[in-house]
Amino acid sequence: MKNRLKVLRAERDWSQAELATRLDVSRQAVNAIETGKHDPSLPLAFRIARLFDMPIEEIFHDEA
Amino acid sequence: MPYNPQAMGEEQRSHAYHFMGACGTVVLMGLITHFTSDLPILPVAGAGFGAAGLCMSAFSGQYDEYFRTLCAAGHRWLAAGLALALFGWCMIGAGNLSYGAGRALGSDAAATHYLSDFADLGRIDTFVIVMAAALTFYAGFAFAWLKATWRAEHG
Repeated sequence: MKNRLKVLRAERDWSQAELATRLDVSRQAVNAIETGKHDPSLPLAFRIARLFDMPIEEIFHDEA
Repeated sequence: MPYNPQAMGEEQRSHAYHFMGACGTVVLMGLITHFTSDLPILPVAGAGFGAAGLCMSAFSGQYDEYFRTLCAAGHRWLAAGLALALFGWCMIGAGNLSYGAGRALGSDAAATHYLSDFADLGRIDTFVIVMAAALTFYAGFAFAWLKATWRAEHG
């Protein structure tokens, strides 16, 4: 699954650690999501969507 | 989200990954030095760090979901490793039992006399077995992380 997390984070000038703090996860988890190593759970995806005030499907794209 | 004064910070969550890496390394070094050196420091440290990391993985609810995903992979490896070891023991034991029973039936000798091979297996150093099991967990944790990294880089 691809996502725009890195772009959205850069637009707000946040570091990975800063975003991780806002999402209550680790910097490694943010990095894993940004690089596609890890697909977030639905609750975390909703948290991300709420943080960026965007619908989930505008942040995450199904590759299929 | 309600304020939780006990909640972990980002730094503590990040340290969990480094700690697991350190635990795996010390367990591996402890297992190696158990065979190569008389110094008990590293095997003892390996047992301690191995226990701490496994404990952390067992109660990983307060860490983030990526950490729990990696721990789950480690637990699967640990279960598979234990299943393989038990299966091996079962096969060797069953072979010995049937051999002993066959000999007993044919010669009126006591079956227990032919079970010495299996009894010897039970005397394998418990420390080595437990450390190998712990190492299987850390290998699974590391493998899951490396596999995800490789997949992210190579599609």
